[in-house]
Amino acid sequence: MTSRGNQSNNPSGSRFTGGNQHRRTGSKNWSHINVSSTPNYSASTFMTNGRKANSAAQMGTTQVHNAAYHLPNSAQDQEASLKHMNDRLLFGLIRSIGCKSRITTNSGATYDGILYTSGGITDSGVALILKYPQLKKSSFTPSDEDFNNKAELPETLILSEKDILKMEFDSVNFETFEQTGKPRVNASGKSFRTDIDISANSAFHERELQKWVPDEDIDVRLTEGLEDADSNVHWDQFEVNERKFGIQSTYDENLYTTKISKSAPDYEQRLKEAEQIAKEIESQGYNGNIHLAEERGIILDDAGVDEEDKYSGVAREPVPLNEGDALLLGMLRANTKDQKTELRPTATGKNLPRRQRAANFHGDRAVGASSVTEEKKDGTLESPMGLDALEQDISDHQVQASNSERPKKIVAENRKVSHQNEINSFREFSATFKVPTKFPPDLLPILSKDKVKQNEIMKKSETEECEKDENSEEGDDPSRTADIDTQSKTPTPILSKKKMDPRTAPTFKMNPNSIPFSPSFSSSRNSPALSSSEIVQSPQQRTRKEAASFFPTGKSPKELAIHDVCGEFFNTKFNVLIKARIEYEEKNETKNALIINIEKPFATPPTWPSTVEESYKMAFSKQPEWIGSPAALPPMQKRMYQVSAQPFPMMAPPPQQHPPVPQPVMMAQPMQMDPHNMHMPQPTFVVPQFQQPQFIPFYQPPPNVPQMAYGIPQNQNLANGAIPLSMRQQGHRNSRNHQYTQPQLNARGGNGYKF
Amino acid sequence: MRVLAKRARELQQVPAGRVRRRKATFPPVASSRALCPPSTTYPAKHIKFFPTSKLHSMSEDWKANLNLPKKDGRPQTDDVLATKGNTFESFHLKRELLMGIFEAGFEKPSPIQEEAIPVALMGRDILARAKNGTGKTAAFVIPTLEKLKPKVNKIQALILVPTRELALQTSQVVKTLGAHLGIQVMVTTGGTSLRDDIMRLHEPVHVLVGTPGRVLDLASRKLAEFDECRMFVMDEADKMLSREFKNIIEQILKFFPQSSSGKGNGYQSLLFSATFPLAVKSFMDQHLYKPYEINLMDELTLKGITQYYAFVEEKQKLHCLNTLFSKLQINQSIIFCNSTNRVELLSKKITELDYSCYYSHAKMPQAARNKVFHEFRQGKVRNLVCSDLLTRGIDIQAVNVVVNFDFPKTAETYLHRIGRSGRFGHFGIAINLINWNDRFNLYKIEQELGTEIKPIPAEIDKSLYVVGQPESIPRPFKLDQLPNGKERNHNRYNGQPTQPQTQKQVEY
Repeated sequence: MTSRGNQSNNPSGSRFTGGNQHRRTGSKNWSHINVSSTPNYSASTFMTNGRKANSAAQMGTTQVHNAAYHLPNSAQDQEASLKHMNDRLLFGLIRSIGCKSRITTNSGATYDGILYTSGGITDSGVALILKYPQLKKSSFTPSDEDFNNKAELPETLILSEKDILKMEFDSVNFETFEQTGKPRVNASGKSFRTDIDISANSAFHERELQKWVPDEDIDVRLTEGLEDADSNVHWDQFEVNERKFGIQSTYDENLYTTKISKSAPDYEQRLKEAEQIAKEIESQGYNGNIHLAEERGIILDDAGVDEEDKYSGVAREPVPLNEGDALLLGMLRANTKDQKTELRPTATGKNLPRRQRAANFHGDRAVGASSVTEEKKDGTLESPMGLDALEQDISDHQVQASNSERPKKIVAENRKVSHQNEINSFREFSATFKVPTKFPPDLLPILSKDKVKQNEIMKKSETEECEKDENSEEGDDPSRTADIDTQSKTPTPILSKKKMDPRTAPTFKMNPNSIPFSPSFSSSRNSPALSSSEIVQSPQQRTRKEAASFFPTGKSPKELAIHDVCGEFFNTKFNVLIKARIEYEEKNETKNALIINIEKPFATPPTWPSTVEESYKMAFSKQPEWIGSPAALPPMQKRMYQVSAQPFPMMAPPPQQHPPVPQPVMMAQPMQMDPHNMHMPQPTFVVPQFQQPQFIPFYQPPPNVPQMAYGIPQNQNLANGAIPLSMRQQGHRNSRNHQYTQPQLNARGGNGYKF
Repeated sequence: MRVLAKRARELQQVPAGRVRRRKATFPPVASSRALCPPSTTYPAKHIKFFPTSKLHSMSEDWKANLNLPKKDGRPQTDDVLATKGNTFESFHLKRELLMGIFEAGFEKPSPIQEEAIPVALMGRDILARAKNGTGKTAAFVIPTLEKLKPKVNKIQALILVPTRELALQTSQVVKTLGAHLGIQVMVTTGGTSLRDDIMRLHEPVHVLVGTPGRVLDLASRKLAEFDECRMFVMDEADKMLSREFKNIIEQILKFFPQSSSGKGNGYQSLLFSATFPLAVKSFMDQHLYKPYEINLMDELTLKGITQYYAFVEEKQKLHCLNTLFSKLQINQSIIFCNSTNRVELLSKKITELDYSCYYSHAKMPQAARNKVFHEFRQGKVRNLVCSDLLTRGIDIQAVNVVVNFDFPKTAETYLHRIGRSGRFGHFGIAINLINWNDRFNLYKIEQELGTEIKPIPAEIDKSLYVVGQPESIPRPFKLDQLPNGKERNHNRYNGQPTQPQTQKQVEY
């Protein structure tokens, strides 16, 4: 029982109690709301005088009188204090509801029970209702007779205000609202205890595990592992259990949910509408959320996510703050997964498909199996086991192909078409492919052991060679090449063999107009199914795309960099010479000048929004002598010195100052740099050719701009020791200083820095 | 003195006339409520005055007419018995609700119910944790039903759960407890016909139970309207607030009524779970208003469950399981595997060993899943092999043995899995088949849960798990509730072989 708050502002109560008694019974946790001031019972931390003067006087005690003794004597004050005491009593009573209570009546009878409620406080006191009353004493001087006469009490006992002499309540909780809002068991003082908080005191101990010893009688059926035998048997559990054990179903969904009323007048119409809406909902995307996808009936490539992850386990990684973090986390996780596969490699080679990695985690390859592969065969179970990595790759493509948000049927068609395309293209290739050189004689013994056959092959290849020379403009003879191909089996790609089904393949007709096919890794991987824009990609792929999405064409950055961009974009926009010429011409209003003056980017001082308005003087230390003796400086200044002496002030700030690499804040707001970097001393050669406003639109990732702008070239400067240049620029310094700050301000006010 | 004694005698008898007279002397309810300081944790309802005699006689009448189920005579642990001694009547629930509660076989509130129901009735948000199978579902269903207005044909409560089976089960509990309230409870989960669910929403629905994805789809199309929904409940809250679900839930909450005063929410939230591996602070801060936190756990594992491990080679697992089957007196068992493929393979093996067995995992058609779930709960099948789909929340009172054929990855999964046995303070055992690779995970989970898993002894003490009278174990549905329940012969249970002498043939 606590009554910290109460006691301090309860002069009558605390005074009334008496210190020594208070301590003695305080631990007993009984709260007395005393009506009489019998000294034996008056000890408590919470104590209120509930009765008015008249009732107290009636009992022959003088509580109120006592209370008033220390209070100001004016009638008003007395009334106020009385009111306060009423409030306290009421508070105590309300808090005591539900507590064990002991009520003594005027007759001396004592009842125990649970306080159920109380009436309002009237002049004559307060009435109480007890639940489950028990008579403890029938009078002040109980006789045996009385006790034996004890009648069966009703469940509820009502005690009127007149009858009550004393009431005591056990274990009253006086905590205030805020306190009770806290958890009931809260030892650690934390807001809410997690599982580990609860089990915290257990020590980790590795121990020898006792081997389980099987009994002697070993049934043959039991000696094999689960997956050893025919592991892909799908079985009908209902049929088997009904046949063997006579179990029949009593399931009816109406036991669990509401019935559909078919009697409604517009039932048919509603049904149609509902069907329509249902279709619309189910054809929505799933926003990358596997649960949403599941509920919309979209079959995802869920390889690597087992049912524990989905339905039971709680993801331990803290929730990422934004998309960028999520991406980064994903990449980090992917990396760790890769490491895992290295630790526990399976037989399938180093480039494991994702499902294999997940399977590794469990030591069970089936765990990672995608549900899609099962779907493929109309419910018959197909395990990925026993397939080699190559086939898994292919089925991965199928998986991706089927990750469609469109109805499955279309996807299936798509897939069919794509396969057909693939097969056709391989077929074409095998038909047109020919080794351009003479047939290597050392291959002959491999192809055929028969001397005659060897000769035949040799001959054929020779004649073909001749024919090729003759008919080089007409194209190859298809039948012949095909013939050679099947006989020699030389470089037919393995893939085509796997894919082609000789029974179903239509007879092939050479199309002389067909584009020559060259097998390449990328073409065989990027099956047409993948390139279809309608196909939803697996989450990993999706995120990859998002990462590159600022490239306008939607192509991957790699593709852009290699093919399209190099020529146009980087050559023009990032060519220092061209840029310099444009600037020079703009500035000097000349055209086709033969000699241009290249403004070195390093000439631009480090400027940040917080420092643009400052004069360059602010950047200088007021103690010029620090440059001379860095060793004698206080640490802060020493560091400043070191920084300024470094060739890459921004590229390599002191490591302890630099935030960890995954720093999305920096990415988003390039100007929030380290404070000490901002106050870097400006170099003496200040030339204001900071081209940021022009740069930014072309070069989106902003943090690179300032680094590029002066960091790298400065290195060149130092390396070359380009003193004459800096001297020349020094001449312009004073006149240009003003110009330089102005555009910076503009840039800041405009959208130059805002992304 | 004599006068006093006389008065005491009078008081004992409490004649009816006096009671009525006294009633007039009490101040009206409203005024006493006004006097009640705002800090009280007790619902204002407690201040109501009920004439004793009336209450008493009323209780006699309606209680006599209840259709009570057989009493479950199994021993229970302190996990559910350590209460303050409240009764369901002391919460002052609607008569019809009380009838439903008693007819469901509930006798006294469990600790979590005792803590949560009054606070929930008062209207406060609750974040509560209590051990597996100690009555959390009823702890949120009872206040939800009490606050329901059956005459208002709007969705007034939404209960979200992570899995479809759990949605079915929760809905069944709501239906059972609210049997006399005249309310409509609807389940909506994925895997079932969305069209049918849309059709169902044309009819009045009072309580919607579902999985978040489907509920969001219905809400965002205004098919399910939550503008009058003042009660938002999440079971298995830790899972619901893990990443994938959380996004959906936050979107659903946007459709809930806003607070008219601008303070707090326009609805009440009740969050329950047995595990909270992570603090759910961010959600609490955003979506709960002064949540009343209940934490009834000073340890994580249930008192009634004994845990064993059997350290085996992967190839021995089946043999070990067979030994368990033949040695143990299994009432009903759940066997967990880590992959769907293994679930199917193992269940097939078990039927080949002549034990009745169903299996369930998320890659099955929903109709089959529901069927399996329903029959297993009804006790028609003795064994169930499943994935972690059925790890959380599934309540089958008769399960006394849980086998982890494959060991789980996380501690909370483990805790929920073993919590499938020993429901409502009863006794049960959990047996973990551990192979060489699992051993570190075993240590890790032991540490996280602060428990020690012992090696399996040659003989397991029967008092630790054996059920004396399996026929008295409550089942979700009575036979006559089931379709064609009367015609079919349900009385014989054929699912267990007759051969092993230890495995008692039990007739249901």
